[in-house]
Amino acid sequence: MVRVGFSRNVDSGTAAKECARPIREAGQATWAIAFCGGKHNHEAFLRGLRDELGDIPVVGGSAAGTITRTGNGYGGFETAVAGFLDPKDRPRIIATGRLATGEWDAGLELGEAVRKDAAEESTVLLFYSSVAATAPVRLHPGSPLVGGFYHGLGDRNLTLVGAGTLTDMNLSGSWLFDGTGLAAHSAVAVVMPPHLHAETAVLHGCVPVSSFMEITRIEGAEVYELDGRPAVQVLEEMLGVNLTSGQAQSPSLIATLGEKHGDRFGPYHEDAYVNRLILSANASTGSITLFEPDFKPGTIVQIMSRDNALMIESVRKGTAEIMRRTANRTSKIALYIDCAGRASARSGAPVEEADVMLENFRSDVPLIGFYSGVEIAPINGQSRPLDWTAVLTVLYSEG
Amino acid sequence: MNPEVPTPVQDLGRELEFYRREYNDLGARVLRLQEEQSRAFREARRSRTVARLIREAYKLVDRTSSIDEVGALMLKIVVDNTICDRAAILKRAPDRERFIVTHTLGFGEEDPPDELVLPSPPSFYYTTSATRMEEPPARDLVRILRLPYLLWAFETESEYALIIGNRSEGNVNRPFEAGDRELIEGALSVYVDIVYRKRTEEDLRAAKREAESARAAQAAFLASLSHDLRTPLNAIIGFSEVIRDQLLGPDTQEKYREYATHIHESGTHLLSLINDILDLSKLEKQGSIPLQEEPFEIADVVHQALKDALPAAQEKGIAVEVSVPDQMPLLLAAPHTAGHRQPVEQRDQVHAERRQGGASHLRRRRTRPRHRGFRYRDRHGER
Repeated sequence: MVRVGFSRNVDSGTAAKECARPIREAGQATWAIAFCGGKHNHEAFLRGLRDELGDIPVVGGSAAGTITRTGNGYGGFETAVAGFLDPKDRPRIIATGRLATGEWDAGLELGEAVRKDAAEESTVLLFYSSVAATAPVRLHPGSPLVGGFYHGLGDRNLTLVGAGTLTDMNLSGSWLFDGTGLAAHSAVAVVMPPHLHAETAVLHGCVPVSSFMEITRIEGAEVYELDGRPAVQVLEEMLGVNLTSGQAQSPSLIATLGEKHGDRFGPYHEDAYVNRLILSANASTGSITLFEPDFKPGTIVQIMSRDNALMIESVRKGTAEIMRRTANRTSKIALYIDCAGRASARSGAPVEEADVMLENFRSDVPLIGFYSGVEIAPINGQSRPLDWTAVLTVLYSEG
Repeated sequence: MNPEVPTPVQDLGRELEFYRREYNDLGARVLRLQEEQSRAFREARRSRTVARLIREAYKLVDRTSSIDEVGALMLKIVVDNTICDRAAILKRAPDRERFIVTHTLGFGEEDPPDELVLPSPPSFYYTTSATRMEEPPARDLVRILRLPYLLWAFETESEYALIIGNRSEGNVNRPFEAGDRELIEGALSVYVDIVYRKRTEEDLRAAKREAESARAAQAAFLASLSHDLRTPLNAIIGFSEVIRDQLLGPDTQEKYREYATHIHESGTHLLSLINDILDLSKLEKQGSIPLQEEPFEIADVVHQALKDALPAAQEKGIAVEVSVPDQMPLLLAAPHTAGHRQPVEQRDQVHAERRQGGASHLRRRRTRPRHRGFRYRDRHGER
């Protein structure tokens, strides 16, 4: 049994108490997933949670907002907790604090540890703190973390779903509940027991608006040239705005770069694309900085436009699809990992796509969600860090 | 082969280039349309934000019990609707040089400031990356939230100010701009309006409490006075009956003279009580009456009390005993209106006057005699 609590109380201790109440009323939780708005005192929140639920493992972390059936929002004081009451559902939790010294190594450490413990086809939830530094903003990229994880995992086949956490939509910070306490620059792998399986739907919202272009110069996440021309120039011509004037909107609000997997010349299918948000445009170098450093010289990309109508449609289709796939199964909990950029305040969508998901998803399954920096979900058989997506995962047991 | 006639491969290459160009142009138009649509939605959202903020804020009138609570909840609504990082409400101090920070939100583990020196506050202000932060008022205002990008409104009439701020300039979707004046001033004016309403409510409640208290005091005073009227009246009736019926015989002129004196004194005392009632009437009309303090001899007052109470006591077989030192030197100041009344009544009288808004110094002076050795014992015990 899983119970979910929600609060938007501005007092961190009271928020924890309000989140814990429905869980405590149902029984004794054996572990919990918790997400806490960035304006909270996270220590006080965790302390409050432990006061109510006891000294149980808590995983999750900061969130730009939270999503539950009781309430959702992204003002900074929203909190949500899912308490798992059945001792059989208790996972193995493996954490590392080595993100600051190297994302690949941190992923490798986790992957190797998971390989030793996890049964074949297990489901693993992976959470990590997204923000490495502020002023200027520097992120912990998810792609080397996930790459290291798979490397450490070897030939073990499992489902990986997860997210990079944020305190708010402005990338002001991030932290983690790693199962034992509070941590920054950390990652935590939550290995679910073998009887719990996952179905995942990736919900998109971008369409290609350019022909294919080759990345002709890139260093890490910094794209200098597209088709041999300065990347900023290519984008500015396309968008009709000066991206480096300081007055323009954040480029991440306008366009992304997308890589199409599978048949490049096949019909458009949203699941075929891995999109990368553009963090900033740099006048002095003519380059753009992506959220992730996984594109290489020679990668063929397209400029992608957000499409709010498509985003809403994708939510409807994805939600219906996952309900169909889990129809005859005993669903334990649904986890909704939602890119913070999809929130109406940022995307300009006329409705909250999280509301659309809540309206369309079955109401008898406990649900906890949060607004994230990066989403991790399977694309073409292997999980990758994704941008501008929402990932709806249902944990279920057979029968 | 004619070099001017393109080959099929060249045609295909040109066709590909044509479609690529057209596709990119179409894509650019789609992207700009999408962006314009998003911008329109965001602007509409801003208008909705103002409306929603005002609607939610006005609910505070019913949801809150104190002015302090209004401030805390108002900031919560402001932060929730504007998605800003921090917010604060300030009130200009009486010296008009400083602002006192009354409420804050979003500081987390950091201590917010208590006050700020700001002699010339602007009525509206905002900062962007183009603002010269080292110059006032930006230099001063950014110290409130300790964030660089802020939106400020100050209402000169109420002397309240509201400020919200962000760490990054493009918070959520765009920098602050002049068009945000409606939002910040709207929120501030709603807050001030609710504060005034709450203050009026609190004043009304206090006035109601005071009126109820005054009514109760008046009732107690009148009840006490009714009782007090009976004592001298009983004396008058009792002594006059003794004289009329010559109950002590025809040859006790001295005793009858003494009783006539008692009747006169009781009549005088009755007059004093009636004056008190008139004073009360004045008090109700004017709100206060001037008190005149006069010295009086304690022993005289005690003997007077004995004379008034004696007939009734004798009738009921109660022995009344008074012990006052002959040379008691104490002279006390007492209000003219009650100076000649018995000490046992003084407390009730003072109590009644105090509850009707009498000066507190009266109590201090009037209670002193009791503490200096007056004891009064009746069926309720000693007091």
